[in-house]
Amino acid sequence: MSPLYEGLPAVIYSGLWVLKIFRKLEKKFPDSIKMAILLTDSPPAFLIKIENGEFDIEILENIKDLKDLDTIDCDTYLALPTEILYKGAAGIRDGIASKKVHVKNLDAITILSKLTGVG
Amino acid sequence: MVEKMTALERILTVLEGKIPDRVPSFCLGGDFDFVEKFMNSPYALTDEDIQHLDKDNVSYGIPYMHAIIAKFCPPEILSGGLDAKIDLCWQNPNMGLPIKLESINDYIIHSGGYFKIVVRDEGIPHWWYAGPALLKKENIEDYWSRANDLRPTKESIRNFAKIRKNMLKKYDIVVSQGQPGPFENCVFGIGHANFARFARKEPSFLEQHIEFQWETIEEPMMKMILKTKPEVVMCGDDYGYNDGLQLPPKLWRRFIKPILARYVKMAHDEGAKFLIHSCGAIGEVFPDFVEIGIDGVESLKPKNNDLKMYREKYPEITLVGTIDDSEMLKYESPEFVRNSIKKSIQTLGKKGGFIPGPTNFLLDQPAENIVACYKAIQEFGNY
Repeated sequence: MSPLYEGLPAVIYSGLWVLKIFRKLEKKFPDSIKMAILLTDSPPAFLIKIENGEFDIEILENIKDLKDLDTIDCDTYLALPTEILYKGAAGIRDGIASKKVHVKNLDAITILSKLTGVG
Repeated sequence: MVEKMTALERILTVLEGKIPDRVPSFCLGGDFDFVEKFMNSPYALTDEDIQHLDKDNVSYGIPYMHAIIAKFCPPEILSGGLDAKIDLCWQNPNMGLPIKLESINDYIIHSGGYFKIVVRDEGIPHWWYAGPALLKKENIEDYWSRANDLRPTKESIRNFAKIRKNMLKKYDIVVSQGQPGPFENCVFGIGHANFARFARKEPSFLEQHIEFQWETIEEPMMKMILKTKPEVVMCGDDYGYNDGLQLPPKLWRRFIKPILARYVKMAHDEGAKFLIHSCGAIGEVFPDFVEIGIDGVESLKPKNNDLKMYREKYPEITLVGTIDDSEMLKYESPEFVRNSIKKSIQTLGKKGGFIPGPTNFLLDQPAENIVACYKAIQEFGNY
């Protein structure tokens, strides 16, 4: 049996699952969100969709490179190497400054911190 | 029901070998499967409960699920409470972000093992250890070179004291402070086969690795935990399989016991009680637990451990857990659970020294059986 999601999509899914089961998803994300994330060393990208207290994660099999990100219908995106993701919030901030982290807009950082701060 | 003792008084009384007002209860936590079952049961947290718990900043994090544990409180504490009080629970530190070694093209956790996060077909997440990564000596030496990345940081125990204080003050629940033990840290990284090989052929290399993990991870983490002044520390270190120890007792005594004794001494020196969570059949090392001063042993699946003998032969050690969660709590009826708890208390808890609860993290047991378990501890636990 292969899992539905592994790696970062599974981590994000877990955070959203916890919010949903404890009926906190709508409160934490009152507005609908479509955000794509690409780990540049571990493609493809995936799309997080949150709307009306529900969520979905879609693996975007064809989005494997930075240049593909602008073709996605999304509010924001974040592209970064795994190494920087594992350096946490400070690493990501430094990565934006050094252009190793690419974002469509800074909403991506706000959403990511909300998603990873579940607990 | 008006209680004669607080949960803290009750737990400390038992761990000091005295008899409290009633038998206290314990819950290690629960995985995503249990949370899913519980939240889809008649006992689920209501909007009112959630509002109350949010006001007190109670953690919903899995697997420690303090919010669900608080739901078991009596209505005097939480108006929608289940009146099946849990007195003692657990929380472990965040052991830091994964690192990538030059000699291994993948990310590993602090112990040197792999950790997997998956979402199964039915949409339920699952997080668990997935195997050792330090399979060659060069990997282990590479791991040693990353000491600075492996040391715990203040972030590892962020909010620990606050969470503990809050749970105690608002919900009368003692949160024991956990951290992984020396055997798990070692074998999660290098694997059982390497442990056995090095123990036989290069014992000094194995000792060097165990000492490295003590100095880099375990001792600094213990110091940080103890600075938060916990009342109870509980280290997780599984030594047993279902039918015996995972390693010969003489190897456990040579490589693991001396380090475990350091954990116990550090905790006791700071005035904390020390419990160990250790799964499987671990009777062979019970005399050693007594010798190094462990206050209580948790898990103790009844099919794998002669609990009656432990109770009689080792009265110094409080038996924690002992309620079969892999078969009884999963397959039997609430009435069967109730009767079984009654018998357990009669057999093991007559003279104190007993903090019953499911032996491990709750997984896929029906919520009604877990509620029946804690209600029965309350019903039959009066001294």
